[in-house]
Amino acid sequence: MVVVKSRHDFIVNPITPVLVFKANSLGADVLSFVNDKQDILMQKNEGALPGIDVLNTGYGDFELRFDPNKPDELEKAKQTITDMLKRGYAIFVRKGTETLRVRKFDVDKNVYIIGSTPAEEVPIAETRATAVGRSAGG
Amino acid sequence: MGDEQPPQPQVGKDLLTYAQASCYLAEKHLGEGDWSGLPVPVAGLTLMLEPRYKHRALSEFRWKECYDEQGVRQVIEEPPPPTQSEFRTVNSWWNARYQVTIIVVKDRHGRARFRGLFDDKLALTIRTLDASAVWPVEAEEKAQEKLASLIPADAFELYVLTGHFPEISKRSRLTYLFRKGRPTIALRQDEVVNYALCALCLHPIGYYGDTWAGVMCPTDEVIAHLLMMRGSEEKFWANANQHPLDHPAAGL
Repeated sequence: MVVVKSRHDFIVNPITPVLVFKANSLGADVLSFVNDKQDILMQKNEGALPGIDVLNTGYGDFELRFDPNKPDELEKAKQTITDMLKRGYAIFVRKGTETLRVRKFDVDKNVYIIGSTPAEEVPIAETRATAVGRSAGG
Repeated sequence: MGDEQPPQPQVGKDLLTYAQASCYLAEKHLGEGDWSGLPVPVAGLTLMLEPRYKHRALSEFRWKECYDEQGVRQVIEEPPPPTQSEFRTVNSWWNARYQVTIIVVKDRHGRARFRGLFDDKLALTIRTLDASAVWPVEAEEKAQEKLASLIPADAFELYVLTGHFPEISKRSRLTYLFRKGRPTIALRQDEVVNYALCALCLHPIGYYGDTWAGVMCPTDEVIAHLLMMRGSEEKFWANANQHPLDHPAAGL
């Protein structure tokens, strides 16, 4: 069997129309290889803004930042956090020296809920969380 | 007239390395809520994905061709489909004494037989090297920056120099040895006892079967293990596969 032998061998670009044809044989819902630029909810930003770092196959660590003083960015951040928790992402935040897993997100108060008391809440505007995709075991 | 050759695919545009494909797919799918990027299937390896993952059908994807560095097309042959076996597996376990996985099967008449499955550490290592083609070097560098912000400087130096670092859980007082590209080792260490418990293997989104490689770069997986240990230790143990330390999958 001939396989890709080194890091420098090539496969067909999966986002060119060539592979759209092949991918469709798996079912349309498998992958939607599109060439159009997608509207990324929050932009990559190296500043000191709050946000979420997501462990990512292509970027290693993708930094999503938002300005809490801009209502549109705050709204997008809330949607993103809600979506991530719905999809089973584990979100971790720091509180003091502790790392804690987010249990819920309160969209009205804009806080991560990490326990059952008000003291166990972390405002999204005051932290950089880290999100990890659902575990596949090993 | 009529015998025009199709245009040659261009390296960097039509043809990408696995690692470039990882980057492209991650970028293109961010807007669709694929915050973790997309796993890239690798020819010759089985892609194992989290059962509820929305692109889980990717595990069925098979590359049919690849191109060498000169742009010459190579056909990737599909392995023959597995034949229907008259046996069904009813039990299996790891035998530490003989270093073999014993599998008990039954035939259609209910007669039991057993066979041994020999896992080979060298084969695991070589398949892991194959899988490493999907990890962009830039992603690994970025993940290491992130890890450096999460652990003390001396621990990060250890990680850079040796590929692993220890941390003691504040909750259970267990020592965890986090390792690059290998399962995390859990140890009980105090004044009275000192023994290793098991190797904890966990990959976010997915991994390549019979390798130590996940779909994310190795340091991303170390970060995932570290955060789960710190923030949700019971879930870390619940979600991870617990390999005996003498099993080849433990990577010792």
